[in-house]
Amino acid sequence: MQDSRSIPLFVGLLAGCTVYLAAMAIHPTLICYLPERGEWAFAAPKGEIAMHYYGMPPLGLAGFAVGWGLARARGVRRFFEGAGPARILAALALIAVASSLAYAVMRELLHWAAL
Amino acid sequence: MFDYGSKVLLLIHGLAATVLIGSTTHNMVIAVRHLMGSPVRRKLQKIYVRIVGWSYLVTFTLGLIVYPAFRLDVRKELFDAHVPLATAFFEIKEHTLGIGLLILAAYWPLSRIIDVRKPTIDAKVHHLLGIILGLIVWNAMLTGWFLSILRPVGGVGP
Repeated sequence: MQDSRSIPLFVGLLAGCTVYLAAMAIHPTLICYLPERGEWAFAAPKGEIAMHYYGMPPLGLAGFAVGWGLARARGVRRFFEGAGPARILAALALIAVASSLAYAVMRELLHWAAL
Repeated sequence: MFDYGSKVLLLIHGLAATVLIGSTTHNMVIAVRHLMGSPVRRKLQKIYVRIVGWSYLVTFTLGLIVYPAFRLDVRKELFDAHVPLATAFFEIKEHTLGIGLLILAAYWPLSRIIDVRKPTIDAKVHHLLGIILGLIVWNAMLTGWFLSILRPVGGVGP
């Protein structure tokens, strides 16, 4: 890689997209907004509209921050400075981006088109 | 349901989105041209990336603020019940923009620390992320237009 400072950014992107994809797939308990009540909650009462989307970007950014922080360790950065690992890291980051985008499209189309 | 303040925020949201689509398109063109071998003006691209970054954050934040009104006024009343495919497109837009936020978190600082003129892996990934971000923004813009045609927020009737 040209600059070792880019390594934490790629690891952060990989981690953030992986966390976002996992959250779309397994629906963890996240903070949500109840627009009819004007309240924030972790669980919505039955029949109530709950906007779970509000929990997703912060969760993805938290994953990004953890990956970024871990990759700032000197040993990790030195490992990825090699040409081979650098290519693999870049490819994994792009695959994570593409996979999460593709999953979002597939999930919503299958869910709403099936109704 | 949809008060005057929300309409003003929606208008600013639209204006910020217009800035975003312009800057991201210019940025995409630079990235594609550079990947095809044309020289790149680094200073110009750094300016575009900065505009993309700020306009993305403003547009995204305002969208989040206006979202509850849309959820109750438009989506619940019309889309979920009668046009579920419109809800699918809206949800795709939301999630791709969420992922776009993660791309921006890497893309923006990356543009500041690397020299994109050099043929490195960093520079190629940087350009690819810029193109993906542009496609996400274009998808969001087209989806927003499409849904507004179906029923504008604060509009009258089904």
